[in-house]
Amino acid sequence: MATAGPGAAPVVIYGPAGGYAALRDGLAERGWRALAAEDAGFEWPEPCGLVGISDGAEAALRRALDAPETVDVLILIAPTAIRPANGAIDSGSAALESRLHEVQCPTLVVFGQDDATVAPEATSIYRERIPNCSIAFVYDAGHDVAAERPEALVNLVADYLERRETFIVQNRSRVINP
Amino acid sequence: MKASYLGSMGYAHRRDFPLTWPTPPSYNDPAVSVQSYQDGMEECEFAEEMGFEWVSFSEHHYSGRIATGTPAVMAAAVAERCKKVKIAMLGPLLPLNNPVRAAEELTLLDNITNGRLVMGFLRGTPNEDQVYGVNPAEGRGRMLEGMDLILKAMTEPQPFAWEGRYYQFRTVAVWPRPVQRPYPAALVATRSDDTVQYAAKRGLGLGVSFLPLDQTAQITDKYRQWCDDAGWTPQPEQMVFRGSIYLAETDQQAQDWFDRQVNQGRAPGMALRSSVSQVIQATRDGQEVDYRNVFAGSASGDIVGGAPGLTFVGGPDKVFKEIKAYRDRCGMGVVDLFFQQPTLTHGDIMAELDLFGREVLPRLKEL
Repeated sequence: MATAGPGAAPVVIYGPAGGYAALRDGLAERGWRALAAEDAGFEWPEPCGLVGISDGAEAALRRALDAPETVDVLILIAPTAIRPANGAIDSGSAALESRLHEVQCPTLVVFGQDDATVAPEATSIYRERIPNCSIAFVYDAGHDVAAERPEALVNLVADYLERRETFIVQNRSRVINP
Repeated sequence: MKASYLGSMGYAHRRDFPLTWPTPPSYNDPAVSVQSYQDGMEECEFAEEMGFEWVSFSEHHYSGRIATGTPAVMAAAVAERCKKVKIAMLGPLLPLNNPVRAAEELTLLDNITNGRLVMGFLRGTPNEDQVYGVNPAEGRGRMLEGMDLILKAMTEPQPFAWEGRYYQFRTVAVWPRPVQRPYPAALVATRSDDTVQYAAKRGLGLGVSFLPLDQTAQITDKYRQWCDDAGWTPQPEQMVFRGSIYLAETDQQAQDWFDRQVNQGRAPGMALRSSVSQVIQATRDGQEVDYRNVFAGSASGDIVGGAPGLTFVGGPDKVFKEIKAYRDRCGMGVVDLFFQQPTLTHGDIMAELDLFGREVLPRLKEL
C-alpha cells in the first residue's frame, strides 16, 4: 500500500494517549484515516505515513530507522527524541542523534513556536542530520501543538502527507476577480 | 538622555496641502520633491553634527507631510551620510507589510550600518490600514504575529516553515543575519495593554508617541510593572517617547508662532472623513458596523482626526524641562523629535536644530 493521498493507507500515530485526538479527527476531515500505533499492530500498513508526537516521536523515529521499508513519510511533532542541553546532546538521546543521517524518508519536524520543553537547538539538529528534513513552527503554540492550534497543525500535516517536501510550493489560488 | 531626529522628509510645500488624507499626488512637483529629500537628508546630517544620537524613520503613506512610505529606502540613504548615529526604524507598520520582507530589510540595514540599527514595531495610525487593504479588525493580530515571525526569522539558523494565524510561509531563511545578536535593539510602539504586555514578556523596549505626560505615564507605569513581573528591568534606551516640537529663542516667540498656526487653521495632523474614521475605529475595536448609521451622521462630509497639539513648544529652558519630565516621570531614555511642522521651511528647521543642539541637547545628555 502507499500513502500517496487521502483514502489510501492509514496514518499511524505514536503519541501520548488521547493527545492526538484533534490531529486524528482533523486528518479524517481531510480524508485521511489515522490510527494509534498500539491499534496498528494487527494491520500495520506498509509503507505508511508515520507521525510521532512528543515522547512518541522517539518510537516513530526508531521505526523509521529500524524498519525503513515500513515508513514512507515521517512527521515528528514537538519531538523529545533529541534533547540538547547546554550545547550538548544528553546521553539518553546521543545514540539516536548519531543515526539521524540514516533516515531515508521525507521528514517534517514541527515545533510550537513557544515550546519550552525542548531546547531550540533541536530544530537545527534534525534539519542538519536528516537528509530530507523540513522544519516548521506553529505560531502561538507551546509543546502541545495538537491541542493549542489544531487547525494549523492539521493543515500542515495533511499538506506534508500529500505533497512531502514539495509542500513549500504555494498551490492555493489567490485570484480575487477571475 | 538621548535625542533622536525624526527624518520625516516632508515635502517643502506641505503647507499647501488640503487637510484631508490622502494628499492627491497632483500636489507633487518632482523638482520640489527632489529638493525636499535633499533638504531632509541635510537635516539628518546636521542633527548628527549637533549631537543627536539617533536618526529615526517612520512608515507613513500617501502624504508629503511625512514622506517615507518605504522607510528602509530612506534609512539606507541617510545611513550612508550619517556614520555615527543609530539608525532607528520606528518603524515598519507590521499589519501592512509582509513580515519576512520587513525582516530582510531590517537585517540588511543592520549590516550596511555595521550594527547601528534600532527597530521599532508599530501598528500605524488608522488611515494607514487603508493603504494595503488591511482589515482593521485584524491589525493587532497581524502585528503580534508579525513581530514573532520577524524575531524568529532573525534568530533561526536553519530554513523553516511558519504556520501562523495570518501568515503562512513554507520557506523562511532570511539573509543576511543581523550583525547585532540575537537581534538588533527592538521596541514596540503601542498604547494598548495587550501589546505593552507582549513587549514586557518578550523583553522588548517600549515606544509611546505624541501623548501627554500623564497618559504616557499610565502606559509606562504598567510596562515597568509587567517587566518587573517578567524578571527584568528595561534600560533607558529601551524606552522611547516620540513628540513633536517647536523650539524658539524665547517662550513668547514660540507661543506667538503656535498661536498663528492655530488662527490660520494650519495645525498639524492628517484628517479622515468622519465616516471613514468611525468605521476604521469601530472595526479595530471588533464592533459590528451599521453603515446606515455611519453615513447618516456624516452626510456633510465633515472631517475629523487632525490638529493634535504639539508636545514641546517654547524656548530652550521650557522645552528642556518638558522633555525632562518624560524622563523623570515615565523613565524615557530617548526622545524622538518631529521638527518638520507644516509651515516651517528647511531654513527654519536648520535654525531650530542649531538652537536645540546648543541650548537643549547638552543638558539632556547630562540626565
